[in-house]
Amino acid sequence: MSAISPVRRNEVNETLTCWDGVSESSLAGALSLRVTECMEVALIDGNRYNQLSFRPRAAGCLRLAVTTRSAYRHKIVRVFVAALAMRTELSRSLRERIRTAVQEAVINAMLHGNLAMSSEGFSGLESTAASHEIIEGLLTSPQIARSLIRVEAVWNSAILNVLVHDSGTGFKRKKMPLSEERHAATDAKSGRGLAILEAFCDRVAVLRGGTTIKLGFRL
Amino acid sequence: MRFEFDADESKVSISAEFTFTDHATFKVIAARLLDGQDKAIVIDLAKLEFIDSAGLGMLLIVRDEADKARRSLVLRSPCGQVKRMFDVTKFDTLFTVEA
Repeated sequence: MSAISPVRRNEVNETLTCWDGVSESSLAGALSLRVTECMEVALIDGNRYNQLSFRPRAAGCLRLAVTTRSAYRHKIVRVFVAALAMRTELSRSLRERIRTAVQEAVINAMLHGNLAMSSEGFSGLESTAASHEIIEGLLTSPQIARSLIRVEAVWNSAILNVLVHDSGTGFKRKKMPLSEERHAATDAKSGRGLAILEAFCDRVAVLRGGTTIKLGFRL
Repeated sequence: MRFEFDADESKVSISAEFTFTDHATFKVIAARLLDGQDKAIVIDLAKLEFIDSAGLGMLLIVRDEADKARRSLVLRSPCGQVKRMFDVTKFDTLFTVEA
């Protein structure tokens, strides 16, 4: 299938394309300028497609739905933020902040949300290699490999919000590190994500029991 | 991520991006660095444009492995987004960072 395959144009002139899941360059093509919504082709089957019908919005928007497998294999955030920068003016600094924060949110959604992996497995060379072997094993399960990650950017003249949704079970706020723990210098090999989000975003909100994170940026 | 080793295998320059997705490439880099004999291991970051928290974690892992071998790890010339990530995470207190 071609990377750019318009399959729907709805009543508010939104255009949906499919991404073949093969490469970052084909994703860039699928996120070409007139597109408002892009869905990886592996997600399009009866029920999944229906679950993914987004609400039309009046403001500018760009939505991407990908599988966990593709989030693991490709730098999808780099392509997504480049596509965003083609649609709304972003300074170099702002683009860098968005890229940094969304990268953390998407990796978190993939690793801890959809793959239910803990951070402890990434504390040494051998354990990290073993964790990646575990992930490759998990991705042989079609159900896990095709579990959904959605990235949705919505903006107006004042603010840009990026929402990252995963298909996991969420987490309890009690398990989140305290503010002073998040911002301390630490030898831990993981656990910096939230501090990075707070530093690079103007606003961060955890929604839907931890399965959605909303990142706000003033324009 | 791209990388280029010096002849003595104890210094590597990495460029482009260093993220979670680059784990396999970095595993190769780490193995070569740790196989070397020089007291100091140097990772030159001058051409690195982007790093995420997973990349930071992998640098810490190499530092720990170097410690075990009684060698030191120096991070050289972080700039741009990489420098800002170092600032946010206070990485300069965890490493020897040279401008």
